[in-house]
Amino acid sequence: MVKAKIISSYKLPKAGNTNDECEDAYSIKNTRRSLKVFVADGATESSFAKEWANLLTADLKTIKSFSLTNIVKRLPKIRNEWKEQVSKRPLPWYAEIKLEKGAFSTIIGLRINYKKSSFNCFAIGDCCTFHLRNDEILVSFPIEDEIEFSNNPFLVSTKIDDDDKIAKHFRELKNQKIRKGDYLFVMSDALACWFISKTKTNDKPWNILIGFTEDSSNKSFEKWLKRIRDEKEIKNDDTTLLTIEIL
Amino acid sequence: MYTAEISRQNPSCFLFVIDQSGSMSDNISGQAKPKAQAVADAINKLLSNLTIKCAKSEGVRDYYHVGVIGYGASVGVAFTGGLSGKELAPISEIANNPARIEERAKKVDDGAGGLIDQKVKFPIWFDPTANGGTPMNEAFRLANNILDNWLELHPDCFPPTVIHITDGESTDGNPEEEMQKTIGKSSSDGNLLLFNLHISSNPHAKTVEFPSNNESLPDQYSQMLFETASPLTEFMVSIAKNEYELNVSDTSKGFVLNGDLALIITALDIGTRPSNLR
Repeated sequence: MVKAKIISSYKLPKAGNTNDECEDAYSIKNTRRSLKVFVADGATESSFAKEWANLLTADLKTIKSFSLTNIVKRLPKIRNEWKEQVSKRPLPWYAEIKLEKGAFSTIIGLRINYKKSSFNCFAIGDCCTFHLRNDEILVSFPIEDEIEFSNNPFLVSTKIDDDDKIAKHFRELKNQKIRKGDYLFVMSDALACWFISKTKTNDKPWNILIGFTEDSSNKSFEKWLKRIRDEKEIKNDDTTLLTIEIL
Repeated sequence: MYTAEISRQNPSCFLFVIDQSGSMSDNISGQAKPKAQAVADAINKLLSNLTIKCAKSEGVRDYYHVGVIGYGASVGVAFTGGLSGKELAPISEIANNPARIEERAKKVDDGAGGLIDQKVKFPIWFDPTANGGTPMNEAFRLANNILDNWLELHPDCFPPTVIHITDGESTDGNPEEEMQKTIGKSSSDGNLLLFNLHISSNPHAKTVEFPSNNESLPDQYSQMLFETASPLTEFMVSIAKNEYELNVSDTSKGFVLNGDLALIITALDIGTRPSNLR
């Protein structure tokens, strides 16, 4: 039996954008039995992607298990909510046409089962989870090598046309055992790419991320992110990080 | 190279150079459509696509500044109405100032195996124009001035893209030198990208898309336009191959001969799809 604690949660827009323009989203649901977290990364190329990412993370908190069927079953309801939200006001011609094209997002979900001392994870696209134990990354999911990050990951769409493709791109990780002292990191793609490359070069990037937990404001993380963006160590992109300590 | 972020703080630019000479009233070889109509359709569609690309929930983000030079009876900036006289306008201004918005029918899947007409909005900025000579030299001199000014103000931008649509026969001398000057211009992120879309009346002209050599080109006009077109960037080659299943290689150039509207739009889409829009 384990417990878990979120020791930090950050969501920052790409440099040059306002907080309101950040199209990443995350959600957390902590109960007696489990902890669930979700991170979604709305695609810049689509409009109303922030709304779509927010709705996905908010709604999927309610599913009991991370099966493909369960997730796909929720999509029609989430799509309807999105449509309702975005059609509230009249739109200029370009926004109307863009809306027709739909909104897109990647998503990752992680569920820790306290009693079983394990976690399950699913991912569509390139948000990632990392499992750390004793200075060693046991799991890098769903991407293990930074060359797998591309500008065109598969995205969950507000349009139903792509539903048959979701199964092909759905990744699952089941019953990964955890114990006290482990850490789990859930993050959007730019930070994940940085994390994987630093892990490869033995730079132990987790030490940096765990270090941010003592500061409850966003400031130290924000300053650090700005520096590594300036030094081109990381892509300038919306960035989300959730760090979980297993107790 | 070609990795600079395109953002509101560091926008890129598109410049269209459009042949509006008298010969553009001829039909495209093998089609019942005047060249000038094909060009107007292409440019309107492209401006619409660019606007939509930059549209976000709160409005249109100025990732690009766009200019249109027309050359025919005269050479000058071709915007009218609210955009009149602007060499380059932010894309949000273009979005909000079409000359008019038409409704056109588009065939869409009816979900039961058939097709139905759906009305779609089609903004119009340009109507077909065709008169006078083909002063391509002068047009590129003006383009080069506009591009120099832009690059001075935006030295680190994603390199500007110039899209030139013509039937190819310059009447004010060989424009090759001016066009070489154009492709020689650069930002710190690489050389400017010139696409030449050639609409030829030559009866031997066949459709050629993004060739690597000039072997199948029918005359000196298309050969000159091939020679002065920029090589496709790695990212463009990848889109052309993977999304449009076009037969392109790493040495393909941004040149299309007698493409239909769909191919012209494809060429323009490939030319306007950098990987790093932020």
